[in-house]
Amino acid sequence: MGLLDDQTQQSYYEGSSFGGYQFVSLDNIINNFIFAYTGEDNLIPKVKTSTIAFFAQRALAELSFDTFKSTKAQEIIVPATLQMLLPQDYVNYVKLVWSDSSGIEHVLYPTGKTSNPTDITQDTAGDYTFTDSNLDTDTSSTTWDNYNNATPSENQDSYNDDYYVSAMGQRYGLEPGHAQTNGSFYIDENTGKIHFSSNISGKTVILKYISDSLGTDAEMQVHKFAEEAMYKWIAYGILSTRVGVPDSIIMRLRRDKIAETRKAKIRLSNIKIEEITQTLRGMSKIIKH
Amino acid sequence: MAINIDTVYQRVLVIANKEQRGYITPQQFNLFANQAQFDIFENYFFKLGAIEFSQKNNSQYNDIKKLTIEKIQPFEVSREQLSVTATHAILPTNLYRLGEVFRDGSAAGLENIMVEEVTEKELIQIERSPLANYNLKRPVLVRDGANTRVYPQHATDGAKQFIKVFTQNGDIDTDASALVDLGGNISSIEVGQTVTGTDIPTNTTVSAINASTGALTLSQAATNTTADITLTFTATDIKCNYIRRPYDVSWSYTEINSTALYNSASSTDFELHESEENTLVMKILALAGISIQNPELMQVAMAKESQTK
Repeated sequence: MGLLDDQTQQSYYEGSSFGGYQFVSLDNIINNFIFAYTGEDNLIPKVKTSTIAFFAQRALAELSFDTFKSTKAQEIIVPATLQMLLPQDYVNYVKLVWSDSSGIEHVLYPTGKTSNPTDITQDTAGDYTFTDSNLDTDTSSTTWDNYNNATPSENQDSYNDDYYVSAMGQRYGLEPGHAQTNGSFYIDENTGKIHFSSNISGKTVILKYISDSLGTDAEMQVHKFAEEAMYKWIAYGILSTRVGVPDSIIMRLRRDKIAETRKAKIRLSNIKIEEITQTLRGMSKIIKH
Repeated sequence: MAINIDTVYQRVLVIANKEQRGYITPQQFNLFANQAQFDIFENYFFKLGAIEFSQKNNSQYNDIKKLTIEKIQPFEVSREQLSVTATHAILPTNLYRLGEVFRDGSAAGLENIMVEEVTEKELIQIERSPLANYNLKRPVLVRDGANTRVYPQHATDGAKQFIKVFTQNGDIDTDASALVDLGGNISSIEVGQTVTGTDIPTNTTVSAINASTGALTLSQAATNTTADITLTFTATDIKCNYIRRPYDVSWSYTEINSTALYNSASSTDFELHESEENTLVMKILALAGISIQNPELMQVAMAKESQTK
């Protein structure tokens, strides 16, 4: 019986969920794994479903980071506070851009020359102050406030102003991160906020980020190109943590896992001959960006 | 497949008398017979465990594991519906070994879901691990005396309970229909659930649901039209596969002219496989030997039993 025999063409095209055939749900991955890999005379004679679920989710998370096409994006207009909240399922960013009126994206770069440390409150004598035995702190640091209030150096037209003159080694090499006027950002992991430079205020900013695909049931799915890789990850995870499994088996599963992951990554890279051809044609161009 | 109890009794008597060991009364025989049957039955499970480590073969008639499973099969009960509460599944009273507990979703058009058995310790560990934790698609159960506690549970929200037992207010009509208040647990009402409430006959189940309007079709009509009542919905889809205990055997008789004549109508035969007949006879003889303090009878029986193995 085919996988689509339960669904008519009409119910699909008149429905609201499209393109789902390319994915396998995590529950189906777990059920298939139980059937094919566990039980009498199989590789794993006995294992709890919760253990399989654990390793399946670990595999999904690991593959989400660098194999799946699982980049997410959020768009906001940067408010006067110059802050953006990190998404609920944020793990790391891929890139931050602002989009202009033509919809063209301009890449923002992280600033490494400032930060937002905890600002400890001091009295006039410079001593720390306490409330209920807890150290008093300010909500925003002086360092970050100053950075926000200053005009970004990349937006200053004069190369001879005091800002550059006072810096050692000023002119001998412009850092690529500052050789643009797009703006910069700083991610405060502790407060879960992204801070932007002041020239981004009011602009449309897009955060492209990766998650671990474990946030909701709906996103716990795997592309069919990576289905086999999931099985190998789970099998390796279970047997490599068990006592008494021969090293040869574990090494074999490790090799299988790496090979299947590589295969999945190549497949999901979506390399098409026409697109490759265009890239190769570009090789003859002298000036490229 | 069953072993006739009278055949066994007569053989036991013949052997005991041949050895001049004395008479075994029906009451004694029934006691020994049940003991022997249970002994053999229990031994199947240890035998299966030992077979796991032995070399297997592909023979149709010489596969010891297959033969042992065949002997257990008459005691297997499949898809037995369990009585449930919101938190517990009540196990059958004749349960001997629990197999699988699962949600049979066939009536409601849902998928079947296996409930995995864990220990109390494992339950605590699972609950502390976000990745391994139970959910509606991976429920777990813990043996709790004669019953099982099933997770996930929720005090009020039917959508978060694995066992769908909850209440929902509504009205009933006499034409086998009901109108349930929208909201609350309406989304958790499934075809096949039993419904109880004022004026609803016992064993009434949900036959059809219109989730958008809350209109239910019941399997039988209510005895009266009643508005604003509390309807209790109880899952009927929690089932289990298990091995039941063998029935107690009994050699019954009718006394005619001071002679006890075998009464097959009121007797209960052995449920064991026919191949166990010799073993049964010898085990009963051995038990009789102990009972009548005749070690020689016991030795004879045990020697013969060992020959049959």
